[in-house]
Amino acid sequence: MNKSEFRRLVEQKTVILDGATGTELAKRGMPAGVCPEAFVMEYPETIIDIHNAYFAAGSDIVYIPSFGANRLKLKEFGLDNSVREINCRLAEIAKRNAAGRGWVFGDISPVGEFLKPWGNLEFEELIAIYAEQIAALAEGGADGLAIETMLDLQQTRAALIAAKETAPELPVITTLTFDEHERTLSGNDPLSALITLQSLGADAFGCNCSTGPESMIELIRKIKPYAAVPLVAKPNAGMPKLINDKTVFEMTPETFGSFADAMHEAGVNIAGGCCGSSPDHIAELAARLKNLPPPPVACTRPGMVTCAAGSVALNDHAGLKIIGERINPTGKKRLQAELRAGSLELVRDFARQQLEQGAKILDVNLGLGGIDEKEMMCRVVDELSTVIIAPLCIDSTDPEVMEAALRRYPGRALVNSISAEKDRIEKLLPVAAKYGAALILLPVADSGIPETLEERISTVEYILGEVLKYDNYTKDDVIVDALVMTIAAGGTPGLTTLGLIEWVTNTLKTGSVAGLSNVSFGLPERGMLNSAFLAMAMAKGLTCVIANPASEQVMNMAAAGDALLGEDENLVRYLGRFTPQSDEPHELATDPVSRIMDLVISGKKESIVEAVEQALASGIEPNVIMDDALIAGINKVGDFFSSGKYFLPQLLMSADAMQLAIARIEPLLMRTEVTEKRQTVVIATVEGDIHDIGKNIVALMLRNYGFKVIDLGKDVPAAAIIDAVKQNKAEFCGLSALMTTTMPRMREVIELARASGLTEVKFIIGGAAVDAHYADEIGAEYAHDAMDTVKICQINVES
Amino acid sequence: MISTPKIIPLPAVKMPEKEIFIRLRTRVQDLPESDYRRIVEIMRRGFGYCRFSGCFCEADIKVADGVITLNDAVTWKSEKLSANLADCRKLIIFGVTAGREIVERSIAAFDNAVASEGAIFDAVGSESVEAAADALEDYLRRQYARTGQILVKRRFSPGYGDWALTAQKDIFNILPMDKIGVKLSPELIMAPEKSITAVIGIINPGDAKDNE
Repeated sequence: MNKSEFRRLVEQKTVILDGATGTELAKRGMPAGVCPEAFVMEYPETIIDIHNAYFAAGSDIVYIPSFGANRLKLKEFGLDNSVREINCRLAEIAKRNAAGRGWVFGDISPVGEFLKPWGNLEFEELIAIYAEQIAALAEGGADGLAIETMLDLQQTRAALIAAKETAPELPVITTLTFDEHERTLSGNDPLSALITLQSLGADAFGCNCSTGPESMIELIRKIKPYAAVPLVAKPNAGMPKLINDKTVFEMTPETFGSFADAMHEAGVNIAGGCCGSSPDHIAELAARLKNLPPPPVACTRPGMVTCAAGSVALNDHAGLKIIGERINPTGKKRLQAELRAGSLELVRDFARQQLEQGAKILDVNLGLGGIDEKEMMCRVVDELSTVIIAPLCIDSTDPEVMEAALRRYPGRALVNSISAEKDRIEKLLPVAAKYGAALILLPVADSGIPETLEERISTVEYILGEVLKYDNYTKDDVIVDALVMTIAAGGTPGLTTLGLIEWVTNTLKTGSVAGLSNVSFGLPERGMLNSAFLAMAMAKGLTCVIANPASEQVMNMAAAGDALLGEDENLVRYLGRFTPQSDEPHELATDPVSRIMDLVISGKKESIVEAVEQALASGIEPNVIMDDALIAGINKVGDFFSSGKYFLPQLLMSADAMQLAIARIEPLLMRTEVTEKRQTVVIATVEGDIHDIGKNIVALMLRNYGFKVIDLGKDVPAAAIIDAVKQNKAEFCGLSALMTTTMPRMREVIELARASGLTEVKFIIGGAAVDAHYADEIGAEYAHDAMDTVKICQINVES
Repeated sequence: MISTPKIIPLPAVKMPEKEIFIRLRTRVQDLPESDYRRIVEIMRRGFGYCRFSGCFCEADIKVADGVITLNDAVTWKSEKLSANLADCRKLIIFGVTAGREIVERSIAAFDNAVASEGAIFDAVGSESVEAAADALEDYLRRQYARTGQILVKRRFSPGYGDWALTAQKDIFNILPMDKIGVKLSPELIMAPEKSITAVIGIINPGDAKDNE
């Protein structure tokens, strides 16, 4: 069977796959814990029996029992040198038995190890592992391949690339396993996985295992509008339960089959079963589906780009997409220096910042003298793929750099860009097509930039013609760069650009993109020109813009433009951006002391130092600020906390604000009597224990209430604690322990203190492992939280 | 027999916002909207510092008289764990971690006098590593279901009930916890502290039956 035959088959009927193999083999005597592939080699009649049952039930395609027949899985059974023999033989057994009754697809599964940085596997190593298995399956006569039960999109990509390079004619079904939140174990969502794999060349996409039929049908329904390939559902027959000491999948064949109508209505083109499903389940499903006409295979194909866990449409009219431009060393000395030093810290920062500021896609351009662009591009692609969720736009003219990036990018990238230049058409385009990347078409030819609108349109048409020579591309896979030129050079380049955008929107009917800031190059007040031009371009139908999302003016204009063009449903984004928050700060008091107190109560540390400066400048004494603003404020917060009006985060935000204020006025208080009278608390987490969050909070609150706190940190030996108590003449000693294994150290500290003659020191203990009873037992007081500690100390001071 | 341990990334763990608020003893419905937003923003930032990974392996066990014998070598005395594993001949031992950075960021926040962030990051780490353990447990349930094997309902960690924390040493001897960046101190404390080890029994009669 080749890819075209497979496609024709799916267009003619709903194709029926097989059901479970593992549980069927167990029924036929396969013990738990053995290598299933070796078991089938030894008892081929088992799989023959299973396949016969599935063919009789109505299966068109059955899976060769090669699920774990890759080098890494077989290694667990000492069979890693038999990959070829096992796969070839299993394929031969299945093929010979099928004898024209249906097709046999080689079963490819996760290898059980993970790719870097999560595991130790290199991407190319994984491709080679799959290629070895696929070559043997093809040699044994497999009619196609089923990459199934995949937990990670990037591993699935590796298997699909291996299939494309090893057995390019064989049709490939890819199915991933999604949990009830519709994510794979690696966090991939179904839509991103669909777009990525169908672009890369999968002949069918769907899910297997996962959940029961009901939620799988819902998942298929959601992604159907985006599918250019047949969709597959191979659900479990529910989850296993233990009934009368037997493992039972509770869903009956009748119930399983009853989902046929819903599968058909959701757009399932290929259906089967996974764990717990038997030939009876498949028979029920097949009997019902055969009476229904085949659902459409391909729906409208949207131009989308993806990352491992997210997708962005390029040519819909649901709001302008910002392509962040900052990961580009041109004109950025700091970034240049970092890249030359091999550091990606700034790249990470730029990526995170741009996404926070509203970018949806990130352009990555690493053209810089003194670095190996290919190596750096691979590092950046790997790094950004693990730290952010946003598709990347690979911006390079070097086909080698592009190939390296697209091969390892765990999604569908956008290529910036394919022009009419011979090199790009002949070298860059084939690379992009191999990996199914989305494309930016740049109307530039070897002779230069076309002057007129007509010339630019004709250049775009020429490039598109070249793109469409590749079977896997349609015009929806491209967006057109409207080629923004500076108006400083004279003429009307702005109008030409706007004309091209209008043509792309109305005639070509796809998306467009503009490098916004070019329009104002060499002119003053660039933000004004950029945003005015953006508004005009949006009105002509611009779908994407390459810009710096840090520009408030541009981002505000984009939000306003979306709202005016009806591309912001219910004005959600506009209102979110511009509506002041209703409960934002209540009117703060105007007199300086009350204002500081308000800032402590509301925990607004951002403006408290400024407020303290203003109070000092107006002649208010530091001790007045301390007592009447800060202490009064934190007392109120303490009351709120005690009465349940405030919670721990609010208590701490207030404490943080107060600390900043204290840091400002403390040097001014040092000379006053107030500080002389302060009581001292030595505080520590006992030896062997590294948990100190609670202790840190206690220290903070004690400081805020005017105690002098000597914080010794965590894992502190008893002798060091006692030394500190002596040296500082501390009135109190606070001890913290979280573990039952470390709480006995508290007793040691107290016993050592008493043996050293420190009979007056008050010990206070706290932590998850201890309670009031234990405190009593060792001669300490128990505090259940930070405010309780403060109260204990205050009561003792007063008495 | 103890199977070869496997390391597994867990990048799909979701931020358990509700549980983090509970750990912070904060009733969301009583928070002003602006405070809620500030706290959630810090939580999200903290969650971004978590790097979840885990490892697991399978081992043969015998359970008798309140004692679990692992691979005919290691013994754990615990009535409660024995009851939990009563129907099992095998169990899965696993460990997960939220990584170092969340712990370091929490400490740094306290050092930089931003205790609110420090405490919120700490709660994020504690609850998120529980969510990671749930995610790994869920994955294992699904994987074992493929061959009709069922896991017991509840996982057990050293230190729970009457199972001594000293079992932590045995688990660290069996699992490559160092490969996911976790070490055990002589006091049996894991570092980074936002880490969990646990066992979960496999109820495996080895005779899977479909609707029979």
